[in-house]
Amino acid sequence: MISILPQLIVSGILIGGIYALLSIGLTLIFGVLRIVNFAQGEFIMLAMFGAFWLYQLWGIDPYLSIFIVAPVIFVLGLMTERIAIKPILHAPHAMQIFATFGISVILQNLALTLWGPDYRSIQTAYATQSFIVGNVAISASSLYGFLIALGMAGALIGFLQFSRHGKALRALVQNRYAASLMGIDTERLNRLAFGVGVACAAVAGCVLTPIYYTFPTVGVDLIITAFVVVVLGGLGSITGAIIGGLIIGITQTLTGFFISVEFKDLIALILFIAILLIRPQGLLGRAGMEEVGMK
Amino acid sequence: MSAFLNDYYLNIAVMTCLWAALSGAWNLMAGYGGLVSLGHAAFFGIGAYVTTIVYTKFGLSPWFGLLAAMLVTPSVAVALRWPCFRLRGAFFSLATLVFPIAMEIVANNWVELTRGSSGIAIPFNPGIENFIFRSRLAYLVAAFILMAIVYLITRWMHRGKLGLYLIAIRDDPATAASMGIDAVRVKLLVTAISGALTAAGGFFYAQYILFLDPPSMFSINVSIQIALLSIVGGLGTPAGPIVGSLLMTPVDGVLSQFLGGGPRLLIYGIVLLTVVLLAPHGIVGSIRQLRRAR
Repeated sequence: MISILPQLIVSGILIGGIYALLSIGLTLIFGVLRIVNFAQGEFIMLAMFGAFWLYQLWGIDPYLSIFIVAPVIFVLGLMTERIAIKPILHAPHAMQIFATFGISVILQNLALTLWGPDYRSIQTAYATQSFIVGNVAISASSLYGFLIALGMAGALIGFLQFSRHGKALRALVQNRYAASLMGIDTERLNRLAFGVGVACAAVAGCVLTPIYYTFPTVGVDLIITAFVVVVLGGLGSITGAIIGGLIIGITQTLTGFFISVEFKDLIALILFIAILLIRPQGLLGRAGMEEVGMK
Repeated sequence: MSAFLNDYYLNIAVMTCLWAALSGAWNLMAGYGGLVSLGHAAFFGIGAYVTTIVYTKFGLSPWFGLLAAMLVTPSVAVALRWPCFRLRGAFFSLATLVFPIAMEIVANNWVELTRGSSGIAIPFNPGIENFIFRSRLAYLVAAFILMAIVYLITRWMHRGKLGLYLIAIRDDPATAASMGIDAVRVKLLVTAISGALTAAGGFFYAQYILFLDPPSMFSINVSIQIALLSIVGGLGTPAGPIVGSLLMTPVDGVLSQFLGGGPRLLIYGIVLLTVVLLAPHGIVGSIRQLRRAR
């Protein structure tokens, strides 16, 4: 039992990296637009289908398809923001919830209508490959996924830290009003943030394709995990999302092995309630962030 | 019997009343308290399961089941939602999305009580003591009464203290607190009322369909439909859920004959988004605004 522990922890860390990437997109959109994007999971799902079909039809490797899928999803995100998010930015929060929830229902059932409910998967050459380190086997596609997720997270942090747009985005997160007084074009940056946020989801979707099943409701499972990660790490905190992702990844692999696969999602819920009771602002969140909600 | 009273139309009428009642129960929380639940299927399912387990397992009349469901469900609702009241707006909603999923896992795995994924079939023993009727007309009367109860409670809240407290907390929690309103108590109270009424809807559904299994009882589609009707009809108005259901449920009955789940829900999503973007006050709200403008 104990000898399997390092193996489980390594698997947990690898999947946790991908959870972190999912959650960063959610956190970014929330931080800038103050909107919880319920459709985030559906953008992941679209990216997975994109990677799936590119591989199936033209044999394009899912990691290469990131360069096709992510820009397409980015543009789709810009369009979504223009059509459905911008008009409800100042609406009561019930309407904000149902706008993004409506997008989620539309995308999910569009996929269901077009491609049916089947669980699909692709068999890449490296699907069965793994690296053995000591008595730990590391699956190649999980490792690649983890590294790409980490790279993407790093690139995003760099972008936010050092680029002009990134700095403007951070200013918006801190104080919208003051930022607009400094001449920051808030409308354009809202759109950019939404686009980048869903593009993160797209990258996560592409790296998930080789290790997970692709089906129309895959986003629902993932978005709930992502949300637990975001609450655990602290709303609006990117470092928090990374740490939260790793913790949830490890917890899920451990409960999946020691208790039962079914309880993997239940444990996330229990953890989620526990965080809300003990430390509602999350590990790295500022106190009171959870109270901000949609104000 | 006239053509209007045949089973097909009666079924649609029953469903219209049932969905109006369920959506009305949801509207109490979402419309007045701003507590937008995306997981009312959890209460619906618990209500149906508690009733059915009391009836089929312990052999007691479903009326006792209804009583049990209306006690158990609000307790579960309050216990689950209490920590979530720390969350505001969309975060509360995201949290509620998780509960039906958790309940489905529990129902699937607690096999000795729920028979797991094979579901429970309720034996057809007509009689008022079993709340099983030969005629759909009897179900229609029952569903109508349920809908009327929900409507009257909403009306009472709409004008009464509880509704005003809720609206105050929704619109400005700090001021409401400074006026001496105990926000948590008011929210818990409305959650308990909404949970109990939704459980009553679950009880009715179980006794009407006579079969329940975890995926259909705790389906996200149930939660969507409950919310959609109020939004189309008019959020935060007593008549909104009824108007929404009168319009949408018959359409849904026709749609489901011709379309599968995917295209049908696709249309639902488009309706939802269109209403939110173009007529955010719903039908009742828009009419009221037009009247005021005149």
